Amino acid sequence: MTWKCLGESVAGTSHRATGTPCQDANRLAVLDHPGGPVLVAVVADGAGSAALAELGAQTACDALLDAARDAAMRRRSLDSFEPADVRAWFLAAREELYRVAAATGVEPRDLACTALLAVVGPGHALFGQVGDGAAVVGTDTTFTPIFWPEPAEYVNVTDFLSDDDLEARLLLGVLHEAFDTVALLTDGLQRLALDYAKRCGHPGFFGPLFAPLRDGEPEALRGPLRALLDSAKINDRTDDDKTLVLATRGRHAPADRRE
Amino acid sequence: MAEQFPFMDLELASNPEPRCPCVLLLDVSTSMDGQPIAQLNLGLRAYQQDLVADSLAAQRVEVAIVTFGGRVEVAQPFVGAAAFVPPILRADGDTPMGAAIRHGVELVAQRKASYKQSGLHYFRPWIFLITDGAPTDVWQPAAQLVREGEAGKAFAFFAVGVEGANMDVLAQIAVRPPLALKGLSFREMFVWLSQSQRTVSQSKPGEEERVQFQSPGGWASL
Repeated sequence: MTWKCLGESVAGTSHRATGTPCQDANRLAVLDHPGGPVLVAVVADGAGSAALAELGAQTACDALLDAARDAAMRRRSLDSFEPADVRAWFLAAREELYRVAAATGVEPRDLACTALLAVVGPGHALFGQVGDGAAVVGTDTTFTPIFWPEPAEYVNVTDFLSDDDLEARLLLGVLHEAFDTVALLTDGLQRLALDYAKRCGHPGFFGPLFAPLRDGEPEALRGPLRALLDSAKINDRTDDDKTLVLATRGRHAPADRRE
Repeated sequence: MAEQFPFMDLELASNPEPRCPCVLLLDVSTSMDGQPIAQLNLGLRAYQQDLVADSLAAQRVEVAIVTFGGRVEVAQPFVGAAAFVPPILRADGDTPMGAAIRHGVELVAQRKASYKQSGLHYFRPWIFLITDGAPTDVWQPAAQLVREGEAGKAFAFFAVGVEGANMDVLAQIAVRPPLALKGLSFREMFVWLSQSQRTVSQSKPGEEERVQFQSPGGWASL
């Protein structure tokens, strides 16, 4: 069973107003792995305070995708990977951020960004996260964030891949449970996609996103997803950049049940 | 239709907005009588109007007002910008600034505790002091509280001196350089304050400091 996946990053209205580019980025790959298809998904949100946030987010996504893909393809199965391996990929991505900063003649903090990685094989999934945003896994009706996004004290302060104390800030997780869907999102969508009282993904948000993806062609949904992320409905609630990555291996029967 | 609008049924989660608290510490001592207090009252109204003009700011910014003139008084307990009705202030008495600052710091601590209790997220609180004089009470303990609060990032403290203010004392109280109001341009100052809070209350992670140090523009000089 392979993955159907789709990811889009759209500039927030406040960025458009000031002429700032979209500082979110995302990457998706499905690896043809001997143990079965492996999904690698990454999102990054460049810090508003970082001069080259856009470059930081793009660099972080590429570096994490490369590190995870190379490591995954060197083993016959994902089962033997541990949180320490995910940590090593994030440290390698930070090295790459430092290298690009030096090559560009800027400080690492000028490339500050959050980063979120999911590597999902047939029976084993690895997650890593620094900073806000959320990775949400689900079945047809329940959607569970891997790490609950808890702000430090203030809601607009977070951790970045470029931080000196990255190792202490990094959240790492391994999951052996079966699930059919994975979504990654940046903080621009956090309050719209998660139910803070119940501490879960909002089914009314994720259900209608995954149903068409399970039934349809990802490429045909790219335009509608961009339109959705730039719709008045969403822009009324957030003026930040928005990234949404969706992947499903649709083990369940196609849904005619759209809540 | 479903093919054209595949995500039409999507429904957004409704969560309480994070709060952006601000305490105004306002000098209403006798020397503010006449034009200064009249302009200050007009400024407060402009502040309220500018906040509610922005739907996110109206839901996120919360205002409290502590006045000091003869005594320290909470003229406005914390209230959401959308429900904020600016009080009409009158000037009378001496300048117990030290006690007012201590009260403002306490209000901020209480507000944070209540946010935590209700599970609300919030931005770093602002305390905004406006005076045209010098403290007539003991202000050194208040200055110590401000230094500790700034060092611990418990709040950001801004001081604005109207003409006649003792800027030397303000510089010893506030960690950030005090600003001198040009004439009685309270209106411009409050619109700046509102705009700054609009920006902060919509700021991305890590952006807060940059927002706070944006230029105050035409209403102040350093």
